Amino acid sequence: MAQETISVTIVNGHPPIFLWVKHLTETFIPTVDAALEGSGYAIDWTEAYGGSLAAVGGELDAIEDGLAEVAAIPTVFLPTKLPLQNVTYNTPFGPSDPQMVMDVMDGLHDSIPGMTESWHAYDAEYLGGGFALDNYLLMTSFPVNSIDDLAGRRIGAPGPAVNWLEGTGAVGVAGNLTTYYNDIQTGVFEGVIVFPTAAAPARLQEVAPYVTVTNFGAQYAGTLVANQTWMADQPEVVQNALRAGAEAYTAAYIAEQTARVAAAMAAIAPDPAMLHTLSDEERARWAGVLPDIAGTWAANADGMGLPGTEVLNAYVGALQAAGASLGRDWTMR
Amino acid sequence: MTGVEIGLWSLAGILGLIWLGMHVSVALALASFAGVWALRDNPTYAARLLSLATRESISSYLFGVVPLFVLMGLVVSRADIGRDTFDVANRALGRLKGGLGMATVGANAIFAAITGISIASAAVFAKVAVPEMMRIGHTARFATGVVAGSSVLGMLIPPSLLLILYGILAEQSVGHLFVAGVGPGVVLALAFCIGIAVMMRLMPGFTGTPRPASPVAQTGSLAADTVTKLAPIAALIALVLGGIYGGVFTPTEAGAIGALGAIVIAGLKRRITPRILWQVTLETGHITASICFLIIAATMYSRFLSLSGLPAFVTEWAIAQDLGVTGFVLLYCLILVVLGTILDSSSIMMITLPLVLPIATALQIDLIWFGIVTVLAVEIGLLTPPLGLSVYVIKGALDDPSIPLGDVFRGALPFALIMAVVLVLIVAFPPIATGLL
Amino acid sequence: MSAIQNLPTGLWLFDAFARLLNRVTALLSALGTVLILGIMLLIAVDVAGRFFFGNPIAGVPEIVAMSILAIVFLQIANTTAEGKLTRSDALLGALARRAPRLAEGFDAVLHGAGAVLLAILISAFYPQFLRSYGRGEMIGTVGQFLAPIWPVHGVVLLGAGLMFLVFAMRALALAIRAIRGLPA
Ligand code: NA
Ligand code: NA
Repeated sequence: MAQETISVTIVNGHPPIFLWVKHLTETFIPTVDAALEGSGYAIDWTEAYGGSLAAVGGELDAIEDGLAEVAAIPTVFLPTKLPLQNVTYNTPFGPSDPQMVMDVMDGLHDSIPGMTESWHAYDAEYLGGGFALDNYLLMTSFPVNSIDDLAGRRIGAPGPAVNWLEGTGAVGVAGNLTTYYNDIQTGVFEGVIVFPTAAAPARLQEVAPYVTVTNFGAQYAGTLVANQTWMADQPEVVQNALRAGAEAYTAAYIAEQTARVAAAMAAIAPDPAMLHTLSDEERARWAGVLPDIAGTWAANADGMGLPGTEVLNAYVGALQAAGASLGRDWTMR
Repeated sequence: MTGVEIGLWSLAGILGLIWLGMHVSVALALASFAGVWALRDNPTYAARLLSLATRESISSYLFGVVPLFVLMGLVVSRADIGRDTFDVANRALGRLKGGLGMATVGANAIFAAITGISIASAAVFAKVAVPEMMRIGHTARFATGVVAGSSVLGMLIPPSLLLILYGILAEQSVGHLFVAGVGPGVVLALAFCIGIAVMMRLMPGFTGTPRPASPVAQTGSLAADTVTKLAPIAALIALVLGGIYGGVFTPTEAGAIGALGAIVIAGLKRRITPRILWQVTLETGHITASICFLIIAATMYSRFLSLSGLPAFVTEWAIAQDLGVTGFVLLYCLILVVLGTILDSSSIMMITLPLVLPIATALQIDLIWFGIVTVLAVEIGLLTPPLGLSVYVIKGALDDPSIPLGDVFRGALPFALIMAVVLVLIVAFPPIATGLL
Repeated sequence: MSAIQNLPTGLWLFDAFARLLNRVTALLSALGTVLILGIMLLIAVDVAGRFFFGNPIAGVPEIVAMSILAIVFLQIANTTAEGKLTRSDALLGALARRAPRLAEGFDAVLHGAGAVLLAILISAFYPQFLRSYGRGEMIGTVGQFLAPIWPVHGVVLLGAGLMFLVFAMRALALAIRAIRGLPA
């Protein structure tokens, strides 16, 4: 049978040491190739990672411009373009299990048409699954037993997580993982909000040895998409192969990440005396002092013509149904 | 034609166009456009690639402070703070052959503790040190070469953006990398000073013959004059270093504080007026625009080159040679230097490190030492044509038509060679880097 | 290299337009200059607010990151007009000493290449500007700081457009001078 070869460029702005890039090469592409075996179609892949085609956060532009056919989009860096996909960052103190977050988010894409349609505005087609970050926690250069210890302390956090410090007395400062180490070492920050599998390779424990398991929750961070126009032109077998690739990618990513979390925790908190887990009461107290982050976010999304409130209610409802431990019910106004 | 061949042809094209006198950024961007068009057989695709690079490549906090570092340098220069400093240096080191060049290296080593990017050092010292060195009789080539060479100290001596990038890519402690950068930074500074002394003796045509320290205009006693002249720069360094290491601001934010500090100090010395400040800021804007447009074009070119597969091809070839540890490291350095002629520092690291790190780990190479070696090898590229960012920054900051670009590259060449020698030295004696750990 | 007002062609209307263009680029450049000083003060106030009062300004990283793009494109046309865009002028200089008209003719081609590049860039950037404008794209974080991104993209387009004109006008001026001879 004659074979038709399709050229596909796959893009992500991070270099391949990051797990969500690694599994594009190790899982997504091999799965798609295997699914196409004997179909009469084959894909000739061009892998463009680490800023070689688009910078972090520029992947969606690359898709929309037709510079790439497939992308792993880090939605966490596109909070204003893709607000719905950022519901988890706006409902802190959610479940600690990335698998649960991923399942619920994937389910929302199925049950709420506005979720998948939000991708179409950028000529992108949701392929399913994606990647979630492990349970965010607090690492500091001083001991933290309750939020009272945070008064006046400068804490670095990724943009959307600055809201998680609002009202605690801490000074939330938008920061970047690349400079956390230096910033804590010199004292610009006295702590950071970070997740273990990023903190361990950055060796933040060397400058911020106090680890407080705040259980901010695992976070949905991105997903796989294809260019919508291109996808529509592909034979069904290719479309199905891409979706099968996304499913296998998600499973392999979460499995390896889960395996890494224990080692990362051991690396950042080798001394149990420096490790403190917030009690449920203290966690609820922290969540309680925060402003209505979720409500503000949902109203903003609603104002953009997106189903913000619907997604919020469905997300929290699904988590409650799954029996997640929530620090605050963000649907309560 | 294969992608690798297109990549090689583009290189020849860029060299030719720049030699013919095309604006460097235009040559890089047009070569990228033509190259991507040839690779993808699609001009619209190529144009969109340029457009995306335009929006992305400089839109970061890090580049946002580039004009502020330039402004700090221009204010220091315009308010004669730099001149005063070099008067004192010349008085102290004037009898030493090449003393002012050595003073520039030393000053750059100190400034390196303030900034995390080499182009900031280059911008500052182009305006501060080059005119002073030429004033006492050094050639433009030598003066610009000293500044270009010593600007690389900015990335070796902490804080260093490239070491942070390496730390992330290799999962190594940034703190350890910073400590490991100090020794090689000091060795490199010393090597530059020795090199300057040797050049003064053996290549007087290259260095020029400086007049012996003339009794410069002096107010009051020698001691009082020295203090008056050194106080402003000392205050500025104390402000910036104290601020960074006291946890008040980050090395990126130091650009703003340093610029503001320089303006205030110059104002207190009554050496700057609002009118001069406006002119200096306008000049800052022109230099920034020229540098940043070049960086945008360089990003376009590095993206095209990645797409062509040339860098990965070369790196994979090197890995396949199956040499021992030393052979592997030396070949790796050679490739970094070659890539450094045409690509910017962080692109090179992003392209090569993911391929090379697994091999380095398998060979049980100390990854901290490997990081220092990587950064030093990559930084040689700042001085080599056709794309030598430090050289372009100096040319832009000087804005002097009587100093051709080629002269700055020629002046930087001996310093690139000294860097290569120090690189070999660090490969041969790893404790230079790891000894302090 | 000489600034555009130093490339008179002797054609009154042409030279007048060249002078007008130069004024416009200078005006934009002044805006860019104000922006540089503004960024300096913004970061200084942010640092002071954070360290002394525990009260940083929200959105500074985003503002600085976007401003640099605006600063560069506010300045770039004037930088080009002033002949400050980096190039190697060794060959042109040597040629100018032996055959000045040939040198200007050749330089006209080089400036023409610049105009072509900018035309390519504008053709690809314009739809993106329309996109970010049409959607009202924002940067920042809800609850902290939000700002529209399209003004910056508009500045890029404006700066690139003026840079195209500068390149084109210089190419034309050089070509006219090469053909008609340099005015006395
Ligand atoms: Na430094
Ligand atoms: Na180079």
